[in-house]
Amino acid sequence: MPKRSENGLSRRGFLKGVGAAGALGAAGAAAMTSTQGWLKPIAADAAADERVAYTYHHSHCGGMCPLKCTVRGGRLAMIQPNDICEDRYRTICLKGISEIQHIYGDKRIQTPLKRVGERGEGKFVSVSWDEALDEIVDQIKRIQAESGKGSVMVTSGAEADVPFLAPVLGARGGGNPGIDVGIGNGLDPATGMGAGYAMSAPEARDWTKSKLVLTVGSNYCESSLPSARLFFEAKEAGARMVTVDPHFSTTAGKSHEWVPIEPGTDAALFLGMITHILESGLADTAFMANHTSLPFLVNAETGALLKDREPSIDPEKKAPVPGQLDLFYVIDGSGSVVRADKAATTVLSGSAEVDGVRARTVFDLLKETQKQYSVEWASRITGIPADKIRELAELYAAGPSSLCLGWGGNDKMSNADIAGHAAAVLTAITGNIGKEGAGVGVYVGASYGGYAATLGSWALPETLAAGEADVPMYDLRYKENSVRAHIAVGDKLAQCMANMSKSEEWARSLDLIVTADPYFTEAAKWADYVLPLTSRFEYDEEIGNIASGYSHIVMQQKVIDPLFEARTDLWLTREIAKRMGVEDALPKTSLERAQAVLGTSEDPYVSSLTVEKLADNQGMWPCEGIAEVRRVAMDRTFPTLSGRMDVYYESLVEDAQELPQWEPCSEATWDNPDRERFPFQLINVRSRFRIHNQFNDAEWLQQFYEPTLNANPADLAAYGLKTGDVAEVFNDRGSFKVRVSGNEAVRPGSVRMIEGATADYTVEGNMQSVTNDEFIARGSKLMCGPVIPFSDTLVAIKKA
Amino acid sequence: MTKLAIAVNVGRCVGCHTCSISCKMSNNVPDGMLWNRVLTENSEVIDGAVGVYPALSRDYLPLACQHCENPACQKVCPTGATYKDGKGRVEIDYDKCIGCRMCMAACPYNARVFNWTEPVRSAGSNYGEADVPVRPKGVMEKCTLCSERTDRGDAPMCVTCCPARARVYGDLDDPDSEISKIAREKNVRILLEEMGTSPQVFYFE
Repeated sequence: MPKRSENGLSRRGFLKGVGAAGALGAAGAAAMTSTQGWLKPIAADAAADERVAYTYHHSHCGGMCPLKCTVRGGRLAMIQPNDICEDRYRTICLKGISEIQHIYGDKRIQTPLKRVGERGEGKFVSVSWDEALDEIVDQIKRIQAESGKGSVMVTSGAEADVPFLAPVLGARGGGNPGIDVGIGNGLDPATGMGAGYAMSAPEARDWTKSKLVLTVGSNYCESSLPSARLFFEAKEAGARMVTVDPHFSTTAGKSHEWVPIEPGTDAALFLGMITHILESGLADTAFMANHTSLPFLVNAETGALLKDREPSIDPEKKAPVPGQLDLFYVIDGSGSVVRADKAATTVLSGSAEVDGVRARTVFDLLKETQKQYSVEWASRITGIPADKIRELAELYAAGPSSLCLGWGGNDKMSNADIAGHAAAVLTAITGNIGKEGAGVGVYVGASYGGYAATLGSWALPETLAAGEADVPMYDLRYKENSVRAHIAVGDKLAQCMANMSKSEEWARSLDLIVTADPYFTEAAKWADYVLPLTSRFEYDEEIGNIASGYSHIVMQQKVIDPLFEARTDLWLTREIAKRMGVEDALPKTSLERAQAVLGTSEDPYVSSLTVEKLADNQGMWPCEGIAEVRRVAMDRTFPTLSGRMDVYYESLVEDAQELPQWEPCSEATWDNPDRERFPFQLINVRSRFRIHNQFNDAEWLQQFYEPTLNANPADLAAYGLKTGDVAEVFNDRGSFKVRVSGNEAVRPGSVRMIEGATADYTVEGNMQSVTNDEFIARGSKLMCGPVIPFSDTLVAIKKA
Repeated sequence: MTKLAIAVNVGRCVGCHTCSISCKMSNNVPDGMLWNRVLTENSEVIDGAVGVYPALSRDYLPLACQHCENPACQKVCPTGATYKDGKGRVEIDYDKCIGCRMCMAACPYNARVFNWTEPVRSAGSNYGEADVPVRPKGVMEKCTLCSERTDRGDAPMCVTCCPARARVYGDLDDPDSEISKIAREKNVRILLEEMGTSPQVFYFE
């Protein structure tokens, strides 16, 4: 593998005349052979054998880039953006292009494998598909007969295409994800949007209407490259781009202004801004009174919201019907307590006695709790100068402002929900939502932010259904449960749980582990059977899956035949279903499923679209209405219980988090006594070089990046380390070894690594060996359960 | 006349290396070699920053053949393998290249790469545009401005694939082209102007 320095990518004075001589590659005399007869265009013997096919790429960066693929002599020869669409939807990045090499890489699983050594030892023998599947299904049947259907767990990543696997087995899923739900846990109950992932923002194209685009804890100009274009469109349209990040990230570097912050203190910044806005009369009084729960009356003793009756419940969803404004009480302009739906005018401040109960408004409670969060306090916690916090607050309040949150920063720390909740309050008091240029949430990823087609699906009989995941996967290691078998499509073991030694202990305790994946991952080492799946580019029929991309319906066509003995996800599911005796419930072909995905849509323009029409249009079809930017809550109604922004969280009264109250991180704080032994916070970040653990093995990306611990050069020097050295990174949970790189962009006191660094790509060991797996007490009460605080981790480093 | 060129908006460049890798793909560039690379300016490490935390700046410099009007590489080529073509591009006639590497030494931009060994491709076969010639051991190569694509009227692959749309391709001899407007109206940076090579590739913000 060529090291980065050999490519001279970062060499100082690469240009001659500016500094030292540049990189020249390998030394040695070149053979002076004649080139006569050597040179011939590839096309000479291959042009007749060339074809073009279309597919889409990964979803987890928010890209889902539609790709135009050239195949020559049966091999993938070129990948370009699909050009059937408008220019702005022609997206691609280095990861998509790297597939030219990656799909043929030596980490592809070529045949089904069966474990012969100890779990985790990585010793396997090749077996036939029939042998592997017969044995796997026999074991599943036996385990389920002994311990119930739910003793088998099926997990899959967003990239996998196995919608039927868990129902076919009657198995349970993985339950709450623990990842990317930190901020959303706190934000989404207020907006009723976002599904716990803070995906409540409008499309990032809306930024061009913003005066301020305030990004806090997100690095989309690197981690979601199609977002970069939208960022620059907004910047050139005149929006002020301000990025708050502990590190000088790519997005920070491209912003008008970077505001460095102490890691894990985003909530304190928002609380300080809230105080300044309230105290300076910058709040949007009309929005607060008419579109939020701030005027609602609360029982001053119990903290319960005064309600007229019990909320109506939707029997199908088993959840309260949204929009029940008539449940709540407010004080109207004449000082009377009235039902919120009847109030002609509403005041924000006041108290009243209702049926002998002393009641106060949420707004007054907020003002009271905010007293402890002065701008000076916020400055001490965040390390941001007080004047800068005031300036940001004033700019934000003036609006229209977009508040862009992310999954890569404070989201992975134990207090993330408080940051999300405080962001909700900040939005609510300024009315920066439901109008052009305003919004809150994750703007990362064009395909997440754009229009999504309402696709149909293949219907399974009711007899086939997945079971409940009563204990989430990350808790199986600690809580009593019945899971004895894990069928994993993609790497969950090393990717989705912190504290690797606990994960390994759990893996040893199971009766059966099966991993299916195109690539041999860290988790595969722990499997009893490893099954080779196809990549996005291979299929056994002309048409594979149909999905929703960036404001388009996108189609996976067969680019090349399956490589090696790899089979498609759907083929695998069918083979298992056959052995379970339920194959008739599944589509016989991928085409049959594709027809159902389109044909059963509730949306007429989708259901009238045929597979043939889609294929004839290079596998892309625009969603209706995409000329307009997708915006949210423009009528200022929210799918919450009251129909307003419900910023008061009654369910968290016991935890004193009904309104956002500051709480430091659980581990990565400066006053943690462990900081003496483990002086650095280790942040897991996302980058242009990976999608989680994917592309670790892509050689074309390895030429730019290998897993490296980035640290401030002064911090490295204090431990006798310099760029290129190998360091052991450790704490009481475990350790790993990795090369270090000194970079001023890294905040002193923190060290920074791109997530997903597993043992085959580090010098030794897994990054996940040291990450924090301890949950906060209120975690189970949060919308999506606790977030795994991967980055709320302290480590020490020493020269290895 | 035609003078094909590329302008790079460094304000928009996010240092993602997509230009670099798309070029590699399109032009069948072997392992260990790049025709186009993204440098982090004044930094020892990739994605580094200049200054001391938190007073920092970072600039990326995508760098490939500058298609100079007055190419230093051409002057030193003993066989005439390196030439300025009719569309203003600096090209190599691989059949004439004897691998003396005089051009490599002369190019102040370090834009040229040499096939020291038999080319190795970890993809397992050739890739890219069908009509791009395969270069053997002992031959010099570099950015051709995707001559096969641009001859057909397509943009160079780095321009087509840039996620941030930081690259502008066009004809500097066409006064109405976007690139000509940028050349006229923007504060343009030319690399190593003092070398007198007059690059046609230029940078702006």
